[in-house]
Amino acid sequence: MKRVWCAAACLAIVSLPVHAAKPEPLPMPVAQQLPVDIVLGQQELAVEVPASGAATGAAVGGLLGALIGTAIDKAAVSNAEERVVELRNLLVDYPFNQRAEAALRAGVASDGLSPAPQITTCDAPAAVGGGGMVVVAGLSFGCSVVPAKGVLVVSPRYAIDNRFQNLAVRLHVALIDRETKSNGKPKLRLVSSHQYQFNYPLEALDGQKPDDNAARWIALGSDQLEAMLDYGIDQTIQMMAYDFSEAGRTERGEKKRGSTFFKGESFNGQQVRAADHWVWTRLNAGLPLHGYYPVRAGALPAVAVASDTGMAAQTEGAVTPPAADAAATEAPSAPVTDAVPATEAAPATEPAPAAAVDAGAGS
Amino acid sequence: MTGGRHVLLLSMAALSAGCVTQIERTPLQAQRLAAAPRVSLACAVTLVEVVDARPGGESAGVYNGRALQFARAPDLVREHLVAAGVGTGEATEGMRLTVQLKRLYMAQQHAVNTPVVVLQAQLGDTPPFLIRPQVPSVNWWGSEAELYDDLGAAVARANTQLVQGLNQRCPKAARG
Repeated sequence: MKRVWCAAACLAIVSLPVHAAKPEPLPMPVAQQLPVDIVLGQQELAVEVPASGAATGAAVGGLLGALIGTAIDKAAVSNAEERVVELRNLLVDYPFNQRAEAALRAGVASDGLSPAPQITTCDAPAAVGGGGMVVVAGLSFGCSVVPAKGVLVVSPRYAIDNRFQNLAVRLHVALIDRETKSNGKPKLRLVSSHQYQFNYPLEALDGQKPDDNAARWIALGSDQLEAMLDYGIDQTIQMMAYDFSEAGRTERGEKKRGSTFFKGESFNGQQVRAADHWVWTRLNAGLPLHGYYPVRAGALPAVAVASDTGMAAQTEGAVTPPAADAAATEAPSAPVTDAVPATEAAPATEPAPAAAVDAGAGS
Repeated sequence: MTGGRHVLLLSMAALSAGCVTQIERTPLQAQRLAAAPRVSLACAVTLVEVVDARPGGESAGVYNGRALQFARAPDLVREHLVAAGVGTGEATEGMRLTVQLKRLYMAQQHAVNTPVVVLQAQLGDTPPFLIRPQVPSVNWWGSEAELYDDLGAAVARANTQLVQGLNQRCPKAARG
């Protein structure tokens, strides 16, 4: 019962206006020896299903409403889990957590975060929740509840939406203080929260249903999907390093408006950075940074060309090697509605080719 | 802002600050998982080994504030296969079987439990095949019994499908 009250209070807080004091700007770097907890709790590619049952259940009300809502959610989750099976089988030997950990260990040391981070990893958070007035979904204490000030908790995730239109790599990053209450229970104070998400949106085609979309992802093949996920991991870490850099902190604080038109598609938010195949956008000051790498129908994303098995490259004419993305340009100010040509700026490292999966695997 | 609203906000803040769930590391007990598969092998098979190929090691997901750990998972798969008639040890009769335990975990989304067990089997020189049964169920109580029921059902179903897969690959002459 206590959990129900807590959940109700947390939900209510989200919908109320919060008049918090303006946070102090973080030092540059955040700390010389920043404690960094990497939580690697994901077992496989997640399929994210919106909670549609709760709304229907609430509209009906009572026990009947709860049962209807539960049935709706169960059907939606079951369908999504069924549809993702083949994609998961393709990626069954893909070590996402190991790749993310290795990339984070290499990339978290940066000018804005820390020159000498102290990294700890764990497969589950020591505790979740808390945060006082600021409620953040899945807020994690990191790998411990031992009191400490200024701990960066990093939680990588990879997921596909239940309509199979978007494959994403996400990095949730929170700077927290861990404390202990007078009753001995752990307490968390959220200093700042950040999210970096690199998306592979699938080109929308008329009449395409989730099963059709799933088949298009499967047709890419395991090596290509792995290369895309590796690149997504790399991009989210670059986003994090940028966001804490001098330029990123300035840009993050600027107001934004409009959307970004890139590769024939419109994406929420104002352009922050772009290269040949991807664009980063931010919806407004302080909000998450999103990357978009559109995936065209019948074409292999250039990032996966290294593992090409014969499909057409996404770029017209000659196949563009992934290193073409090495030239990126920043556009931190003034609303931009279209991508600008890439110029020499921030090099984007291309991940090593993915290891081959067991060719015989398949049900 | 009215005084009442201040009180409401403060109460909510106090409550929300207390919404902390400590995650307990919980070892799974193999004996509480469901019984061995009810199907039997149709031909002689000798189990070489059950390899623990879980990328997350012993980690078996998070269930209602518990970080599940399952060290003995390969042993459980082995015991179920032996109960279904697979030979071990000194037995050298029939085709040789190698099983890789790729995943064993519990996932939760919107009050729905999705236990996942993934096995890869290779019988003799035949191509390896994957087993991944789907058994999502509603998380009614979030109890330990429910966890064992759901995860146990998934393990049993995976082993049943594995034995059925082996039977399909039995040489015709060796089928009983």
